Amino acid sequence: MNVEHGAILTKDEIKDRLTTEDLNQRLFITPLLSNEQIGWASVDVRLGNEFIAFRRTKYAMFNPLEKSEKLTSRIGDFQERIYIPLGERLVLHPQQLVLGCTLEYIRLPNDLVAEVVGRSSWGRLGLILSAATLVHPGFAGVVTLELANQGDVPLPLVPGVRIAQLVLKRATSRKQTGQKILKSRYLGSVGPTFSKIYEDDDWDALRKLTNGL
Amino acid sequence: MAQSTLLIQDLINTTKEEFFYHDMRIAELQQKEYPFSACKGMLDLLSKIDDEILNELDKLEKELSSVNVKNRVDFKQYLDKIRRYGHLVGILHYLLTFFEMGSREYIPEGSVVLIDSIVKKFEPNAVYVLVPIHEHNYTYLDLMKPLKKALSYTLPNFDEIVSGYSDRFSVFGFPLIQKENSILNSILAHEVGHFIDEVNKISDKLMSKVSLDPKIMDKIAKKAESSITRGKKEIKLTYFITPEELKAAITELAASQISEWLKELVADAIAFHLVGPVYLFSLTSFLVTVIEIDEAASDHPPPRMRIRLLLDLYEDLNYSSYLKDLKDAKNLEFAQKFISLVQSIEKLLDSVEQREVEDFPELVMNSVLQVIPEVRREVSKRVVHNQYEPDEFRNEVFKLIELLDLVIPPAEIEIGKPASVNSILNAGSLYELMLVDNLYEILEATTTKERMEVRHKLHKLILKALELSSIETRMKKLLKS
Repeated sequence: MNVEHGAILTKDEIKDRLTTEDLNQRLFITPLLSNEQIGWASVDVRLGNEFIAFRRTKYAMFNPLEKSEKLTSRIGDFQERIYIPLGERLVLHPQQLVLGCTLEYIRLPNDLVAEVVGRSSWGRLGLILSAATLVHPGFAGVVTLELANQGDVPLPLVPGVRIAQLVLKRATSRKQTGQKILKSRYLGSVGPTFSKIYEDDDWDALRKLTNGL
Repeated sequence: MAQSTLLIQDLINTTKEEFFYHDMRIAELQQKEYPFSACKGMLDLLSKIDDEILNELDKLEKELSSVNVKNRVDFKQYLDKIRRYGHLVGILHYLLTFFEMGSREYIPEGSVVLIDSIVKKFEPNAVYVLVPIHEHNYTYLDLMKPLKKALSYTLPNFDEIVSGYSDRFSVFGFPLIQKENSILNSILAHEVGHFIDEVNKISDKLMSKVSLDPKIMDKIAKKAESSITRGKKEIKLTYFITPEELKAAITELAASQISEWLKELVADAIAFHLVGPVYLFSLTSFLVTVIEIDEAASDHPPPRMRIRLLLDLYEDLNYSSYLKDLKDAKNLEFAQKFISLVQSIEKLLDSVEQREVEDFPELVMNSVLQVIPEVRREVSKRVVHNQYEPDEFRNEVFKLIELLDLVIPPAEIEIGKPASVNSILNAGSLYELMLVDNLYEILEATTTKERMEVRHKLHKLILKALELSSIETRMKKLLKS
């Protein structure tokens, strides 16, 4: 197969990647409930059962300028994990944001990158994926989705519904594709992941500038 | 109104208050999200009971206003009635403890899938819940039994009240701290084994095949005839009871202990048939890290006997021969590692010299050992249609292990083919025992804490696989229709 780097994978290429014998080259999307999820240049992904909603807390704000250890000890206070079983729904009211995740567990081989794009049919109702998510090569886990209702009517979030699309692109040179699975302690998330913005190295420098505001 | 009447009235009101508060707590618990609909059903029943009792107490209070408690007999009669209600509230309170932590917060969906898959194979209409407990143990109990017994003393129409509910309300308990360790929680299959045994009365039937060794009985009786010296006095047990009475007492005591041991062994055998080798590995690690191999209790046989039984079942089901003809080299390598793991458990038993027992423990031990082949036969006969087949193990488990090596939950054998709950558990168990080092490397874990976090991640991957395979099975049926 002759695929250009950066080119979007087409339906046949996606199918090949899903079934290749070479496990290091294989694209895993598990479970893929219907072949119809594979479009001409993307794969539809479904909404998972676990959500993170934001809690009202006694703290003034979620402040990454605070020392990281102090903030991590409070992370649980800002979030509430909710499990919605198959056959039930979570109602997302206007101007609300929740973190959800894909039903599918995804593992990308080292030469593929994926972009998660909201489905326009949902977007027209006001439900948007509030950040463009880039899934890195070698990623293994469910993809966290930032779901925001920008419309005027409450919307049901129903686990199992097709919620977004994965657009797959080639990412690296062929030389590196034989490499085994990437090593990282962040692999293997099975539910939505809360923001880890406070882990950025830059905060140390910024803390000095802002004098710990 | 006499002072004693006033006092009784006050006691009635205090008791009413207890039931009222109990009902308030039920209302709070009903707000929780439970993964098992049976929880809400039982809470409704308990609330109904509270209402009935409050009505009964109203009647008692009315009756009291029309009589005058004059003497001790009357006074005692009323006190007795009130005490019965007080006793009931204690039991009702205890029953609520099972629902305090039965909510989704403490029970991952994967565990729901695990218990559903085991129980529903046998009793599709069974009413049960899974609850975490604050003990390093697994339990099974039927809540309907103590409830009905307590109600029979207090509510004349209790049969009518519970008539719409199932005869049995099973509670399966697992250690709270292990709530995400689905591999260890395969021990729940043993608790389901108790449930199956209770329904099918397997161990009761096996009791009829037990015989007590007359030689050991005589030995114990003779020992009892020998005298004990206390100070200047010589005492013989036979001064107080006849040798016949002594034998009868020993027989009764032995029968009770043998019955308990058989229940455990039957539950073990059922569990192995239901979930396969994962039970052997989980039970072995659960037992030998806590108690000595030959340490027996009146209600539990020694671990050696239990593990021996499982190893025999492994042979009965021909696991080794199923694995010998694997074509794929990688799978064959996994299979060989698996076989040597089982052999290492054999070695573990051999490495500890068996503790000698005599007298009463010997009597119990020998009687149970005699009947173990019957346990294997009887259980196999009962569960053969629902057992986890070694063939399924061979065809699925090694493929799933490969997925774990890529940090993927082992939910599917191939695209569109969900793995069975048992294959997922067995794959998880074997991976943890044989290959977890690979995961340490991939997830860059070097310190003890990091490695424990990786094991936690492995358990979560297994839970996720259980959840996903169940969702895939359910959704595919719906999408087809």
